[in-house]
Amino acid sequence: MPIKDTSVTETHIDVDGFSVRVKIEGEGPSVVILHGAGGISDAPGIKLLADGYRTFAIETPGFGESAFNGSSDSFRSLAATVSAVIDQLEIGDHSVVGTGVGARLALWHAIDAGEHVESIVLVSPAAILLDGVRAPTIPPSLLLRSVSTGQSSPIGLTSPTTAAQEEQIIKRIFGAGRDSELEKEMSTLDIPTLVLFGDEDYLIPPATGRLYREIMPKSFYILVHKAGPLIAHERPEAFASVVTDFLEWRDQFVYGHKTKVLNP
Amino acid sequence: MKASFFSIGTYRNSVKIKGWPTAPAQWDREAGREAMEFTLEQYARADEVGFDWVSFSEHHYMPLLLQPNPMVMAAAVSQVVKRAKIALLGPIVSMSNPIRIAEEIAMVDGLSGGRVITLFLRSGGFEYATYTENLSESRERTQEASLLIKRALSEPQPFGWEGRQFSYRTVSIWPQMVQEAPPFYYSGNSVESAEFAAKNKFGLACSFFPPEFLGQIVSHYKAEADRAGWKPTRDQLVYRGLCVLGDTDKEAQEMAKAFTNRNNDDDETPVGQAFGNLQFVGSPSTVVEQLREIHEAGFGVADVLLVGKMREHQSVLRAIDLFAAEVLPEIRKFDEPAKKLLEV
Repeated sequence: MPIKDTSVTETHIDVDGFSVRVKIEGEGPSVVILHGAGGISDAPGIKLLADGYRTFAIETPGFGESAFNGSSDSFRSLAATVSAVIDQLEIGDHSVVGTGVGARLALWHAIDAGEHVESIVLVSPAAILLDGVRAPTIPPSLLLRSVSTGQSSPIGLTSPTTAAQEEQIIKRIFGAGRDSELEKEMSTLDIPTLVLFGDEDYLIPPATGRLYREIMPKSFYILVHKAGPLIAHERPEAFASVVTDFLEWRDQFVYGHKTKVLNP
Repeated sequence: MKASFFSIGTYRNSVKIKGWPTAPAQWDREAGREAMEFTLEQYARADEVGFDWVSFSEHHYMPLLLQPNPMVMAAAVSQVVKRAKIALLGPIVSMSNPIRIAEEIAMVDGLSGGRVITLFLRSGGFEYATYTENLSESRERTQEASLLIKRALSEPQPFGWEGRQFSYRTVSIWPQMVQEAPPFYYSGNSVESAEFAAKNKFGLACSFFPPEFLGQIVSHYKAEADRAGWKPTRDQLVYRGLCVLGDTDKEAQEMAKAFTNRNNDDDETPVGQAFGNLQFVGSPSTVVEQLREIHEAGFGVADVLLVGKMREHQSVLRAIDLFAAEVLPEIRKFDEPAKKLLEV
């Protein structure tokens, strides 16, 4: 699945005292991308989504290249800021893809302002953490394993300064243990939700995916084989294949929609 | 040391083998019906006389071994073998739908009251032509299928799998296993396979290699298991070999000739034996010593293909009885010094 060149535009939206950067790419149904560690992702898997969708990558205040965020006091309030950005962009009906801590934002956005949310994709999500698992702090780099060679090399996610800034806000608003308020709301969410974990995720145990399946009535839990916490980097084609299938077919994506006729 | 019996059946009809596959035109209905009956009888006898496991394996398009689907045979055998473990050694997991294999393993486990042991077999050669599979991807497919099957048999919630070789959007196996912790093994005929087995805490099964080649694989497997933080037990090392057992060495060597002659166009022996190499040949005392070498290489289970004189049914039954009477008691003693040391 080659990555096509698509034009990228960048804009800033003023909301809640923040100037929020948004990268817009591709044509097609709208997909809001909420990043995880390090800010807006340049992962090839994310880039592939722009091949058939109009993607809006929103930089969460306090993350990535944005300024220090000392005012948001919870993920729910941060998600309200994100929802306001989406509202100002006049996106209308859309799906939302949230990675890591961005998954928490995606869920709060769908819970509190979800009238236009058609489907949710949670990638290596940090919305539910098993007992004993810390909130994922954000290292400046992670080891990226090559599936074809099996070799690992570091991939820079962000600068040490940004990582320290992100860690500060996460510590402040993440809270300790599981978020019972969020989980209660998740259990009533009537939006098809796809949960992706790499089967070699060493930051959040992939078995956490079972909890989403248990809690959320319309959720699907998929393991991406030979991927760690950077699925969209490590298995971009697999990531794009399963996500675009889900965006198109939602709960019907469990059926095959490609013909099996070999030679007409 | 434990013993496992693997029946390659007795298809008594003469078949002219001209390479692979064997033409179905040579199929003899009565011989085929009889072969299935004999196979069940041989497995039942092995169980009665004390073999610890009975085993199965997948082979296609030839009369030598009539088990293209070991699960079907194992399901039938589970009803006549009441005590021994049902060892699926195994399905060629790269060639079939892994989810279907997981479902079949669980069914056989239920049918046998929780006695199933499973080897994720890679196999090779002609087998891959059966379903037009790509031999060059067999290692990766086998590894991925193994992990997927194990997960399918243990995952408590419906899940999907987006692999490099397999993709399933929803997996939720019913029935699940009767056993709480079913034992899994992996093909171990290379150091790479041994490494994968160790990393994933699978037992290791080697087949047909001479003892001198086994040492390297076993020591690599143990070292990698150590790195992965666990220690395999002897029961987690299985060796499969062909065995021609006679009352005397001379008798066994005479019988062995039928199996070591390569087939040619004129071969009209029963099903054209083409084993080439036999791992265990001799009288009971000779076979005990041959098995001792395997035990000393680290293996705790000997999976023997007892072939008997020309694979005739009565001869196979006789070999089973002889093995149970004179070999089994001796190889069981192999572990005694270690047990006594442990008791001290």
